[in-house]
Amino acid sequence: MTKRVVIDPVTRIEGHAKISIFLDDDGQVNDAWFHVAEFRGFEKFCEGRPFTEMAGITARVCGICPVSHLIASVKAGDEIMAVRIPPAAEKLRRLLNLGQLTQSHALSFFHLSAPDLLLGFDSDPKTRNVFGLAQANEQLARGGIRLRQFGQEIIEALGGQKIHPAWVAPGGVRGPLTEEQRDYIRGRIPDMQTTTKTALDLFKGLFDKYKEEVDTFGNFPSLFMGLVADDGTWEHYGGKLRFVDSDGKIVADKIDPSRYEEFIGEKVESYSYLKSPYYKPLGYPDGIYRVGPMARILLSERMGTPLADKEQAEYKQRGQVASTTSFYYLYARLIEILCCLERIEKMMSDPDILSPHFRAKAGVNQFEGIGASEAPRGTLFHHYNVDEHGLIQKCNLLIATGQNNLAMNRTVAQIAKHYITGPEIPEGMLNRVEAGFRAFDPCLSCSTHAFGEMPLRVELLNAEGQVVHEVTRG
Amino acid sequence: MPTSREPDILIIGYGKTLRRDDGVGPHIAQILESWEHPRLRTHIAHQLTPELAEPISQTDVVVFVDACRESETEYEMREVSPGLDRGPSFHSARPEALVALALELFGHAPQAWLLTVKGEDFSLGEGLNVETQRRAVAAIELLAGELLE
Repeated sequence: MTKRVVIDPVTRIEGHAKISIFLDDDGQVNDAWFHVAEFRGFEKFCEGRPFTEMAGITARVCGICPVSHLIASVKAGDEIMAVRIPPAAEKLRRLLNLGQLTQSHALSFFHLSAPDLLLGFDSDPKTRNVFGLAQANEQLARGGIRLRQFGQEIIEALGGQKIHPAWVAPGGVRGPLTEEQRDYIRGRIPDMQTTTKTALDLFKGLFDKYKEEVDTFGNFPSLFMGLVADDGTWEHYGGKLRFVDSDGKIVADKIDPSRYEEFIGEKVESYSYLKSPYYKPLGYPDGIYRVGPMARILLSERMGTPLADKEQAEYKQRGQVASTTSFYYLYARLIEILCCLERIEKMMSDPDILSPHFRAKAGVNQFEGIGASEAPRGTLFHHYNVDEHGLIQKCNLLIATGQNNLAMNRTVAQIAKHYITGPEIPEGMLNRVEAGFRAFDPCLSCSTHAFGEMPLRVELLNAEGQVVHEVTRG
Repeated sequence: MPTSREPDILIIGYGKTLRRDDGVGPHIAQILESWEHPRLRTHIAHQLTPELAEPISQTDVVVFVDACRESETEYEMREVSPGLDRGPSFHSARPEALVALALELFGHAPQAWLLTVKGEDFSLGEGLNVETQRRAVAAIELLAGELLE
């Protein structure tokens, strides 16, 4: 008799999801599905809107990573206008994205994942949050809060507000940084670096404690995809697409993001509004690939900054596990924060960030535009087709969390297989399924363009749909 | 001898301005900001986040201003005590928790108030219902009477 475990909803991720775990007649886990049950329809209702409005509209997809949508959207807009944006505009957009990566990674690590790590996966869920973290490690909690604040301050300084800033536009940006803002940002960097280095040291010391989780949190070979600079350096704004496998071998390289459809298929499954992208040459579902910080660390040859280069080298020295376990997303996130801080510091000495030449203006010169950038959770694509008036005829948003969908399903199945050996849901399994899932920092608002709130429910169902065991939280 | 001074007040107006009356908190904060009162600082947010704990710890008085759906009164101001009675909280927190976090991590919990204004229309869109606008004006008078006079 086949049985099914349902976790509904999953907590401490951005959005609303449900997980079904299928058991076979022997009570062994057979498969896992990650369902996203909400739909918002951005791709459809954007049709007919001017491409110049798309940044403002699509930024509303998500309150956590609106900046990522802004950047991918205006890059698509640049293509439609067929303009080369001023150097100052590219640098300022890069600065904005570095602030976004910093604040989002800080939220994910310090507010969402650190409580699991410091308090233990089996500690009381009511205390496994930033307040529990504050009691366990006051300095780390305070530093984490300030780190996220720092990223948000950069966004606010450039965009005028932390959430949904309307500062970037097709052709460039709407203004430079002021000297006062630059000096403020520069002055805060040393403290932010100290917090990040402390967290990295702490995290690296926990690998032995969490060996079981390292081995079971999505520990399998797959492809990894992300943007990389022409010389192989870590990239977050420009560059070309690269696919590597878990052995570090380059599978496909130097792919202009405008050719993404040649390499990425988008499968739709009936049980979820979340699409399941895959690497086309390997087909579905064998073309499973992962995106995001772990992918970017693995596929780039260097981070391009001294401290982060050293950390990346150490990461890669950890052997095969470093390129297979999704537990290392947490590790990679911290290395990326360090890299962002170093790059921000370097940019503060660049006079272009104060330049008054920050925008190119033009009308519609091409009817198609594809913008790609690295969002905190992975590569983000905005693909627009417009008419001669610049009105959107077709819109496709390919989101990082969707690209991790197949890997998240496999991660949940792996954790469940490790912890479930019978008809009961063992204590601890639920926490680890959630935490394993959370390693990807999934953003369901983005990936389905959906939103929601959630407590947690797990159901064990037999083949007839009868609930034989249920656990509820929240 | 140090001279006594009037307490500084931080106004945090929060809510989603694209959900009509849910934006009454930001609306009130904007009005108060326009007064340019030397003791008032304002902050507008979609929701309460842990990053607010530090600025809260740096003020003498904090007033959280929020919309509410169900209420027997049109507007209400009540004192808030530090409290961590409910987790988890990641990018959304309650006033009690933020005041507690300010004390725990940054060493000071100011006197804290929550001013709530009953809303009528929380549908998608911008701008407040006329009735809610009227309540906002009255709520500002209450706040000013309690804290600025």
